[in-house]
Amino acid sequence: MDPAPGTIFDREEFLRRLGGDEELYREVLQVFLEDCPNQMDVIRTAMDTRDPMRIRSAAHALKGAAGSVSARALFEASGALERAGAGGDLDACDQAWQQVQAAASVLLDRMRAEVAG
Amino acid sequence: MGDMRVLIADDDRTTTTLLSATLRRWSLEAIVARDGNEAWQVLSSDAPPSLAILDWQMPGVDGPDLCRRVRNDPARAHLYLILLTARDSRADIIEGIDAGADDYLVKPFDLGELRARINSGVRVISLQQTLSQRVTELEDALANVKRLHGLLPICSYCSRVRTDGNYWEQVDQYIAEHSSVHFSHGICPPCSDKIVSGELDPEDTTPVQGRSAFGRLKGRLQALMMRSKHPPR
Repeated sequence: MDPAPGTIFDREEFLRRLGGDEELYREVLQVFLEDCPNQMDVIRTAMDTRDPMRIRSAAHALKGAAGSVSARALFEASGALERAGAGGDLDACDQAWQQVQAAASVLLDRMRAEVAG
Repeated sequence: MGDMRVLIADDDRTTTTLLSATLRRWSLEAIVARDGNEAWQVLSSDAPPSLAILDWQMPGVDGPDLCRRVRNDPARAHLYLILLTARDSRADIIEGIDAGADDYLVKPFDLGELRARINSGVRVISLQQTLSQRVTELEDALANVKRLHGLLPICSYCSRVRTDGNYWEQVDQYIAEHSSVHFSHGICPPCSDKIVSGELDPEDTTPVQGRSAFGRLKGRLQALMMRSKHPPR
């Protein structure tokens, strides 16, 4: 499922950006785990309305959060959805949304294991 | 970095958690706004935080618009604003700085860079505070300094000067009131010759009791001076 180490979640890069602060690392990861499903819901609602600008804006927010925790696959997928929304291309939005859901699902499993362990 | 308050405006909870937890570790007080309207409420309050980290794209008012609003208000134009965004093209950076941002931080950022940029902001804010405090002190000092200035009408005969209240005052009294000068009274040689010597005339036969108080004092002085010059044998 994970093509290369760090593609889904680059733990080392994230920790390096936090200056090696493990406590802060867990605190931020916990908030991301809680908030990511809400952000997915916002995108889902935007997808249902078929409004490209709403899709773009919701995807942008998720991209920012994914970037903050070095979740590279989700960062790329939500970036693609943001661009598709900005271009007003709803077919491309549908495709990108599939990618976003797949990436989020794998990522959240990985992070839950990380926080629990 | 001291007990400074910092506004964090971002609609992403992960980012605001990361920022506020980091600022707390640096002993800075973080105020979190979840969108642009909330951020403007904080910035337009009576005591806004002196430093703000603003996300570019947020619901409500966006980051560059917040920068413009702050810069257009003289009461808050001194606030230090850092734009935080995933946009990193040259054109975006120029647009952000043109909107009034002091600095720019690209997501995802690392804490070393954030610390360096916040430190630079804190330095600018402290410098501004020191300068404005000095200006206030100087203004207060200036208000207390008495100054001599303007056109002063003076009598050509007696040298009295006309004051603002249309009174005629002795020139020494006027200068003492309008400057920090303190007069120490003495007698110049021409006046000494013209006025004082007359009163100290050794040939003056007027009985001491008949002279003015001034004359009596001068008589005693003169007697003392004569005695020191010619001590009795």
